[in-house]
Amino acid sequence: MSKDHIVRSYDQELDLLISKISEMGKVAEEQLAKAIEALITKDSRLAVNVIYSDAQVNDLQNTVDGLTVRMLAMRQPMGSDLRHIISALKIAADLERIADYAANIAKNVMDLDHVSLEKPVGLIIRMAELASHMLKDVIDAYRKSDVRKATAVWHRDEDINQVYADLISHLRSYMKADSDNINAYTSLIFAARCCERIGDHIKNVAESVYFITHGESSFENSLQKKQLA
Amino acid sequence: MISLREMDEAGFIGTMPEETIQAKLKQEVSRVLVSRENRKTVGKITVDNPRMTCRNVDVWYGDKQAIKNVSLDIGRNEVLAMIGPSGCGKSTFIRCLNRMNDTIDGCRIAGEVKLDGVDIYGKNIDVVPLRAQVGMVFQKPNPFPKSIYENIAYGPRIHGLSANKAELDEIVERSLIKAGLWDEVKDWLDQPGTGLSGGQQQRLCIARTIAVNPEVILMDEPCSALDPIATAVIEDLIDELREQYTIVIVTHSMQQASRVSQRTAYFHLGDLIEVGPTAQIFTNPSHQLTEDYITGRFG
Repeated sequence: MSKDHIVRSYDQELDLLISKISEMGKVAEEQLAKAIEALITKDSRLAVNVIYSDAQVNDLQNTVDGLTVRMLAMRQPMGSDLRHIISALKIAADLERIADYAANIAKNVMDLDHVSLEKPVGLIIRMAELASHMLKDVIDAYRKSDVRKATAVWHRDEDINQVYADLISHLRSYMKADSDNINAYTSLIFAARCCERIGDHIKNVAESVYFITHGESSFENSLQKKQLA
Repeated sequence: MISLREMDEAGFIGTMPEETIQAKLKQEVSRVLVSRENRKTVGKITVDNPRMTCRNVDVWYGDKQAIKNVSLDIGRNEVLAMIGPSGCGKSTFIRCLNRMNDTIDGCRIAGEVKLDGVDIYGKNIDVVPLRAQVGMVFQKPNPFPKSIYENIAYGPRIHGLSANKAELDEIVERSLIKAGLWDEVKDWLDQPGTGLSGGQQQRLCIARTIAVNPEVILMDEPCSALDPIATAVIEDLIDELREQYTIVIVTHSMQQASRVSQRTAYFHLGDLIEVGPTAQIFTNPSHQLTEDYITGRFG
């Protein structure tokens, strides 16, 4: 989108929207990083910090919602502007969920500090790190309207799913052998599930980036349409 | 969609399942906006069973070419909206559809405009019945300085559409009912039409157009002199009239075009840049110039 709007304040509002989404992405990323850190160090104080600072992302989502409603009412956006504003609503909801999952991961840290579960925890950390990089890249792709990068991120979700599948099968065999620690294992399953869901929400964001540029709902949908035809 | 080559460079082909790759190979190249420099019409100009067909229409005012090689079909029972910045040729084009440009000195028209398959610029065409068949409503309501009744009755009388007073009364009543004005004026038919409010005057002009049994109604910014309530009434009326007539509307309000029309045509400097279903034009246009205009980036 090379040209500016005739009404300059419209551009300012769109820029503000993009910066708020970027900020949300950054905060969600920090939350996730702190959750990983808490997992690694088994630091329950840091975990509590993650749980409490989730409110920050919720506030940002409210700001984005207010801004989009206002722009829809006052600008009557069309074409790519319309797609941008609608997508901002969806991306904000996805980022809010991602931060929630980071908080959920942190909640599970407390159950893990008394057992030695190096290998499965390692796999969860691996998933969370993959998610963290994807999140950074997808927000970057959003800011630069870089569809190519967004598409690349979209495909990387498969990596998280792979680790998730491995982890679950490991955990199954551990649980059979070591039923005394079943609470810790279920916490691990929850945490792994959170990472896996984070990957799905990042994928949604990537699809929104695609939609903003191309006006089609997602590459997955267009692929499915082609396959059905 | 990025190409397979780009995906490969980014390092993701290897991890993709084979069926996905196959599907991607079959996939068409995704939407890329047609560049600003390309001025060929984008979108489907034809419709099934058209009411009017225009082919390679050129219009000059003296040396200045106002319309450049425009081809477009107008369907039955559809509202076609023409949008574009001032001076883009949309009003000039709409005036070609009932030879309103004939009255302008130095105006020359080339190409073909057909109504139900008949060339309206043909030798034997009489413009008076043509302008009844293709009626027009203007920006500023322009009732005759006569009674409400006479405003409607004038057309049917000169076109010989009624045998007696009773028939004429019926035409007047029917036209006013269709224009949604009857209940408001039925007790005041002998009052001057110019005494009505702006919105009522515009509906009176629509009733006057309807009274002579048109096939097509051309509207050149019919609501630009009206307040939002009167505008809503006219827009609702347009939607009803569509069941019986073909309507071509020129409007500066994109919101209005998006509300009332089924197809939208975007003009720019005399070229028809893009035509397509209204929802597509306003959410996902194909031409960069259309995108610039509807998002307020024109200039």
